[in-house]
Amino acid sequence: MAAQKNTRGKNTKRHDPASNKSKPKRSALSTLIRQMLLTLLSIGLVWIMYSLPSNKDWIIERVVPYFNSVDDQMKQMDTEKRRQERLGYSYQMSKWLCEKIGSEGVLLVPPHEYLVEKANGTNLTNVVYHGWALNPRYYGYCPHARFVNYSETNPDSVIALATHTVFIDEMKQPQLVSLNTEQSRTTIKQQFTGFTDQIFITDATARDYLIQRNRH
Amino acid sequence: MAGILLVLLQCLLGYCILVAVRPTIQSLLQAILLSCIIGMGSSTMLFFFLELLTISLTTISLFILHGIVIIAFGVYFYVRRVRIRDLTFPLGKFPRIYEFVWIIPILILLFISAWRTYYYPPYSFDTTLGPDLVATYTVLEGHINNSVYSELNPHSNYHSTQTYYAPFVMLMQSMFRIAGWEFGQTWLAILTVAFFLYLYTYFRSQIHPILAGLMVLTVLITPELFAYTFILQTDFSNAVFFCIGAIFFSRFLSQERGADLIFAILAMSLACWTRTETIFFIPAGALLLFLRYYRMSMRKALSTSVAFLVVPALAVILWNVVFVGFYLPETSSVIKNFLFDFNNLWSRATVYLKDMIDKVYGQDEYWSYTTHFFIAVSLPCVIYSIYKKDFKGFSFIYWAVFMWMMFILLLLFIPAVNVDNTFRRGYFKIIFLMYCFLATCGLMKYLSQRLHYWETGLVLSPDEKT
Repeated sequence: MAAQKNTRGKNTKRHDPASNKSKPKRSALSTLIRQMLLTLLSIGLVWIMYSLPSNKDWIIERVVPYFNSVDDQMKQMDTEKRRQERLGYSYQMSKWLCEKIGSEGVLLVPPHEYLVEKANGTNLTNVVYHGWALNPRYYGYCPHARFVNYSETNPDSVIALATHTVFIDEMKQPQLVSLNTEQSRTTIKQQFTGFTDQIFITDATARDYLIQRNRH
Repeated sequence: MAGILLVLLQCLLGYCILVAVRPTIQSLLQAILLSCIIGMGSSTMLFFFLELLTISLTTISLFILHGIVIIAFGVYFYVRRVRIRDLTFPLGKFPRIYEFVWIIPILILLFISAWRTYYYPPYSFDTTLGPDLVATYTVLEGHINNSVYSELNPHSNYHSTQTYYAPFVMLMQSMFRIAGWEFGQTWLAILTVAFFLYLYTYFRSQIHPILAGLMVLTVLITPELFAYTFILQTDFSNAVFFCIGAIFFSRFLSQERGADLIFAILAMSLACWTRTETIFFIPAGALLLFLRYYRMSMRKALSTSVAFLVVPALAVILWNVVFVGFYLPETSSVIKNFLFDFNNLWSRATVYLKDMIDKVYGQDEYWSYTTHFFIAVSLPCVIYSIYKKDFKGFSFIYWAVFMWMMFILLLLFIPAVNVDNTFRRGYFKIIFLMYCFLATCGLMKYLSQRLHYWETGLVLSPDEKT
């Protein structure tokens, strides 16, 4: 009781713990039973935390699938596959482009507006966020290649620098084209003319652009 | 193999710093966890000096540098006649049985996070366009100042700010990629595990283990925060360094050990090294130090507060002024840092505040019950503290309030800062601070003492536990 009073007193901090250690008030068994009760209390609290609706949804929807996928992932340790799985379509496209243009190639990056407009109707996220827009996120995967952006102000000079570019075919799919002839350069210039240097980082801004464009 | 050696060298570097500074550390486990975190931060600084000296960044230069610094620490300890006893820390107590009920779910969550970090490459937009891109080219070219700055950025229409701030993540990515980790980001897993376990041991040293477990688990199951323990971004690492800085700052305020203040300054500098805008939150600490000491001794007031302000500022200057200004090529894309628009300040500020509450604070899918739980528990804690006139842990609340206000100022004057991203992820810092407050406030300490007495019959104050 004396000890209990002490916790209420002002001098708790100055209380000498050594004196307590030498003669504990409770038997080892009593402490063990109390620790078991605290274990039950802890289990109860963890269970309550788990059963709260928002937590439960999150655990079932996110954490459990993450945990379950570890087993399969351990069987699949090939780094190339891991990259493909995480970065998806855009990574494959970057890799494909890199191989095609080769180490000496210079890729002319088409205007975003062109890509968004011509590929309109396909998955906009693939076009904008994931890399059709050919953003520098994926340049690291073909570090030896060079990239130039199409520019409305001096189209001829940037086209002259490039060896390859991407255009969108009738199926709304990206196609690589070589810029080795005068004719191919003229065709590409015609395709890209009229699109500004505007960049879309999110799908929402691209969608706004399309709405604006359709209005006119 | 080289990758694991790098991790070990970084931990050893951190450990040397801990032994040299000797901040308040309760157990060997805590010392090891802190060495992992601080070792990483200090290691990026060392690595950066190689770049400043334009030495090629390779596996060999990386290991020689770490080796030299660690040997230098060894020589320093020998010259200062540091005894073997002072090179170690107390072993600490083995967890009691009921603690495992908390530790196991925490470890499972940390395992999931660590595994995903290791298994997948970095994929967040900001990172792949910023730090990780620079790191990829650093491996190829051997310099941070590489073709990302000279070729890609000038020729890209993406006027991204990502490659111009956040040196910590960029340097960690570079080091880990150089040392042979395929995707680099494994360090984030080490940082996450070390930090949450440290947080548990710290909370446990303050309050009863059950309460400590409850709090750490509540923080860890915050959906948004948990996601960023495996999605590589700058904000989580920033929050980690800031939280450690705030913990040692609070320790200094309660125990007045200079070593704790030095360590807090180091951690805060690393927080600024992780994200530049953190420097705007640092004056809160400097102000508190000044107000605390100016009546007692003007000299002490000035020296502590100036040190607290200047050292983190040096970290910012080192990157943002010295490196970006003198080393990197000039960019055509002028990133507008400040926009001093003083029109309708008050109405704009209230709109921002409303946005912060609606879009971030009130979003249950981000924070689940973490914020509600804090509000519910902190109210009685604050009332108890006022009633008892015992303001333990209030420095954490002070930091959080100051930070919230400073965010409004940043939103008003810096165009790159926004509520949806900057504040949402900046909120991680506030969450850590909120729970550090709960773990150190008077009411929780009182409850812990009662619980401890009920359990053992001993009146050990939790402060005395190891």
